[in-house]
This record gives sequence, structure tokens and C-alpha cells, in this order.
Amino acid sequence: MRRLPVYLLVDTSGSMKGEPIEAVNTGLQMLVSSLRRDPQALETAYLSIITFDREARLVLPLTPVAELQLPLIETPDCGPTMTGAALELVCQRVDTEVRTQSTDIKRDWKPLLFIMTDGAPSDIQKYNEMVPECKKRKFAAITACAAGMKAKIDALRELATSVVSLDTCDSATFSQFFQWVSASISSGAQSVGVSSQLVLPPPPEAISIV
Amino acid sequence: MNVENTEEQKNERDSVGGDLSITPPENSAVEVGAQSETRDGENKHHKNAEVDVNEVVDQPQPPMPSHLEVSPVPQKVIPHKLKVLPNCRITGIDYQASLADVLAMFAPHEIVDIGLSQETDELKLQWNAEKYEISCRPGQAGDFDIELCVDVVRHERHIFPFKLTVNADPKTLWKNIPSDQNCVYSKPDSDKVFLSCRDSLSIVAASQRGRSHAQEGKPRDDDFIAEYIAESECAILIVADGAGSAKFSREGSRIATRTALEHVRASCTADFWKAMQPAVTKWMTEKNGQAEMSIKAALYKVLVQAAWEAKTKIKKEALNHEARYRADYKRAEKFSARDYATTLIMTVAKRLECGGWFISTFWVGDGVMGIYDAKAGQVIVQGTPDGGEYGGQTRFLTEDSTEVWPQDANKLIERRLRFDVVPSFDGIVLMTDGVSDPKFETDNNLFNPGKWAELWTELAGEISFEDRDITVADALLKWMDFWSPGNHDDRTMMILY
Repeated sequence: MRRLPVYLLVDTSGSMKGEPIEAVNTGLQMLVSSLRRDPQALETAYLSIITFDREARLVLPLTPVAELQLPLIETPDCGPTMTGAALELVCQRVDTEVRTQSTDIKRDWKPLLFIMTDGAPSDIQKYNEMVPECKKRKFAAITACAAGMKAKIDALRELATSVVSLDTCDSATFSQFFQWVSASISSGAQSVGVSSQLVLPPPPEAISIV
Repeated sequence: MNVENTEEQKNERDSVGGDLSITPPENSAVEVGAQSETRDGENKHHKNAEVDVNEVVDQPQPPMPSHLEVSPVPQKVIPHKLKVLPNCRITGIDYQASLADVLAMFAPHEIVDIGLSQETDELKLQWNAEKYEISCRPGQAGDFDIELCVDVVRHERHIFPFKLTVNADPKTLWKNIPSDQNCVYSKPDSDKVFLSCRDSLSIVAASQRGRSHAQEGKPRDDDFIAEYIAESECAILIVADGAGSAKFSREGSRIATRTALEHVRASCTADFWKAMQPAVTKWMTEKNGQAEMSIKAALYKVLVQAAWEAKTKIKKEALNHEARYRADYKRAEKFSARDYATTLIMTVAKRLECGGWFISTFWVGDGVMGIYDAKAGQVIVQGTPDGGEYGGQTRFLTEDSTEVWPQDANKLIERRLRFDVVPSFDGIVLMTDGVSDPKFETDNNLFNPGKWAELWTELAGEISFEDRDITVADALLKWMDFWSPGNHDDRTMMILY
């Protein structure tokens, strides 16, 4: 079967502690339950979650939606935001697990990448190195979400095919964002062929495309 | 009188209950529900007699499962951390999960009683006390909270909360929303045709909108057309798969098939075949390279020219639509051939005077075409599908790229034009990737006669081909609704047999 690999990169640096990270956990739960109700996503979407704070961690390896059990995402009290390390890890994962270019196996759909951060990369040099590497991986779409006012949009623009911003890091806003992610994944499971870039569904009110 | 009677009945029931409580619950898989509720309750009651009442702990306790609430058992309640059980894949199938690792913290002789609780009736849990397994057959999707209560000899009640996620059966989630028959370029959600060519020669075709389109009420993007020219004993078979992501690909595939047919019909005259006959004869006897070139040059004018005309017509339609849009909506919008992206497979099969068949194919995109001979267990695939690095990527007739339209005609012929002469066949089969993807899975399998044999057997099992009337098309359309997880593209199949 053709899989739709979806990678979620979540900023877990100290500034996310408290309400923001709780909102992320709630949002992820909602994301997964709405994917479970979408037959296309339930049959084809595979989800992987990478968190990044002082290091990048694979907290959920690529797992089919039907079998998925969300880990609780936690944050340390403080520390840097190693966004570059997270990009490096996602590239490694894509290289090892996304099935392409073979006549012997069924090729996967182009993977999707979502990255959510409330700050700026601390490892800016690594980040700049990894941006072109990510582009080489031919994601159908790289969507970056700048959560809150302190998120640095410029760095994200280098990386992403579309950047959205959330004004606040509360659960209502996050829930809208994750619903939108879910809709994007569903449409990704159907978008085939002609356009090399995925056309994302229009975002809800609290999310502005920047 | 009445009161006495009731009292008597109650006593009787109590004594039955007492008997029941002697029976250890481990002896059978106990269904948790109304029935086991009384049994559990009475169990507790029974134990109560032996327990020191002073031990009752007067402290806030976690909420108890309803059927245990009544129990006055003086126990220390020890709550444990929430654990997540493996998901139940879909509703309506048997589910089993072992809780042995949880119970491993107790020695078997320590356990006095094990009870399961649940909050809803939607999930009837069974407990296998020997294997420490829970099992069920959930009838509804959702997240369920389950509590496992373990009473141990030291008068402790351990409560283990579990979460069980039950996924819906994807089959029940698919919707079938009819497409708007008044929209621009509307198209019926399914189509079929049966053509009787002559004795024991027919064409059957069917096309079914994919579930992914049905889910959103979007139109079918596939199309097909077929014709048999009796005069020259020549069948024209064409299928096209409009790109899922191009907004007017349904019209692209329609124009491509119609335009190609018109051109091929106009070119494949009796004179055309007569002129080609000497080269075919020469090629058959000597496998002569020059004869091959002249056949291909003749076919180029028929098939490649037909494809080119289809492409040109689509380009023109994009411009026309742009003009209509401007007139209708009073604002400009750009449309291009990309919006009409479609694949195309077209085959011409001509019966030769010597009795064999001359078969030629031009093919851009994915899907597959094969000449299948069941007895010999052979298949001739007249081309190779265009695939990309990832799934779903392919080439389209509507492209301007040199991949599809190389400058050098010889290159184009080499890549996309094939012909063969066969003594006979069981079926010439054309299909879009909505069928070939689930049935062949990989590109290599498209050339695997074993896979073709499997498909042929499956078709023969479902469809009475020898009826040779419209019911064959009905049966083919019905078969095409087959279930294959993750494969819900439009499906089109055409067979000359």
C-alpha cells in the first residue's frame, strides 16, 4: 500500500512550558482523532513526531494512524532551541524510511512536513545548512507554524513552502491549527501528480498565512 | 401476604447468590455487564463477613466503577498510572490484549479477585482469568476507559486504568456523495459499454469514480472510448486517466479519448491496412528491420498524430474556457493545459487475413495495457508506465516536456510506440492505475504473467464473459468496486475478447 508519511516537528524548548505544551498535547490528540475519522487518512497516513529543545528527539517513529498511540510531550524548564538538529533528524528519517524510486516496491506518496516553533533556532548555522537538505527531500509541502509573537518568521520562510502564524499559544488557537493540519493531511492523501506542491486548504480564522 | 412473598423470593435469590460466589470466577471467561455486576457485588458481600470493619479508610478515594460502589469492603485503594492498550484496528473484529505484564507484580496466590469495569455498553469486555487477557468485539469506534480492579489478600484494591482506542472500519467511513451534474464539464459518476464486434469478439469497458472522489462529491476524472470498424476488422481501444490534482482533468481525459478516436478512425481505413500489409508480411517472415521502420512510420501517423491532436485540442479548450470565463464572470482567470492533465493509452487491434492479430499501442502515463494469452500463460505489455520518484507521480499527454514529446521522432517511437503480431489472445486489456495499482502493486509486477493470470482468474470468477451482452459490462462495473485499503482512485478497465 502507498503510505503518506507525515512528519511533525514540535518545539519543546523551555518557553513552551505550561499552557503552550499542554495545548500542543491536546491539539495532537484532536489531530489524531480527526485523522481516525477520515477514511483516506486512516488507511494511508503515517505519522512521526520529532521534538526539539536542547536536542532533537524522535518521540514517535513513523506509525500508521490506526496503530498510533501518542506519547505525552514534555518540556524541560529552560534551554536552547535546536531547530537545525531537528531538521537533520527528519532528513535522516526520510532517507531511511520513505520508499521511493523502485520498481519492486510500492512507492510512498511524497511526505509532508509540519514544523511548529515559538522562538528562533539556537543552532542557526546547522539550521542554515539543513534548509537546502530539507528541500532536497522533496516534501509535498513544508508548513511552518510560528506560534506566538516571539517566533522568528524570517528563518521559517527560508525553509517552508508556507508559513502560518498563531498570535497566541492558547489551546483554542492550537486546536484550530491542528484541525487545519488534519485537513491538510487529508487533502495530501488525495493530491496526485500535476502540481509538485501541495495546495493547502484555507486556514481557519486564528491562523494567518504570512 | 404480598410482603411475605417478596421476602421469601429475596431470600431465595440471596442463597443462589451465595452459591454463585463460591464458584471461582476464573473457571470461565466472565462477561462483564449486568449479569456479572450482581455476581461481583455478592462476591464483595461474601468477603465482607471476614473482614475487620475497623480497617475502613476514611479518606478521599478515586471514583469507583459503578458496580463496585455499593461494596462496603474495607480496603486500601491503590490507584496506578494510566496505561494505553494496543489500538483495536477496526470495529467489528475480535480484539485481544494481554494484561499479564500488569498482573505480574502480584503472585498468583495473592490475588483474591479480579474485576473489569467500563463506562459504556458499547464495549462488552470478556476477561480470561487464566491467560489474563481481555477480549472484545467492539461495535463502535471511540476511546474507551477501562479499569482493572485487583483485590489482593492484604486487603488492597489495586486500580489500573487503561485506555483502549477503537478505530472505525474505514469501509463505514467512506461516503458516496454524487457529483454535481450541473457543474462545468460534468460527467456521470460511472460509465460502461458493451460492443459486440462479431462472433466471439466483443469489447467491454467500465469506469467507476474512486472512493476518494465520492467522499467529497468530486467528479470522475477517468474516461474511455472504444469502437470496432467492421469493414477493416479493426478495434480501437482508448482509456485516459485525468490527474487527480488538475481541476479540469475530467474534461482533459474526455477530450483526449474522443479526439484520439476520431483521428484513429479516420486514418485506419481499409486502404491504410492494405498499404501496410506487405510490410507486416515481410516483418512476420523475416523480422526485417526495414519493414519494422516502415510499419512504425505508418503507425506514427495514426497513433502519435492522434495523441498530438488530442493534446492540441486540450490546449485550445483551455483558451476557450478562459474566454468563456471572462465573458461569464467579468474577470480574468488563467487556464492552461495543465489544468486538463491526463494520461492516455490507446490500442489498435487489427485482424489479419492470415488469421492472426496486428496490435499496436501508444501510451503516455501510468496504468497498464497487456495482451493476455491464458493457455500460454503469457502477456505482452506494449510499453512501460511513466513513474516518478514517489507514488502518484507520472507523465501526462498534456505536458510540453521532452520526456513525453522528444524533438526526435525516432526517440518518441522507441519510447512510446509498440506493435506486435500474435496468433490469438484471450484478452487485450487496458486499465487506469486505479485498477493496476491495487492489482499489480509494483511496476515489475505489470510484466509478471503470474499476476495477469491471477487477475484473469479473478475476473472470470465474477464475470460471465461468454454471455456477450450488456450484463458483462454491468458485472465488470460491479467487480470494479472491489475493496483495497488505500487504493481509492478512479478505476477504468476495457477488454477486447
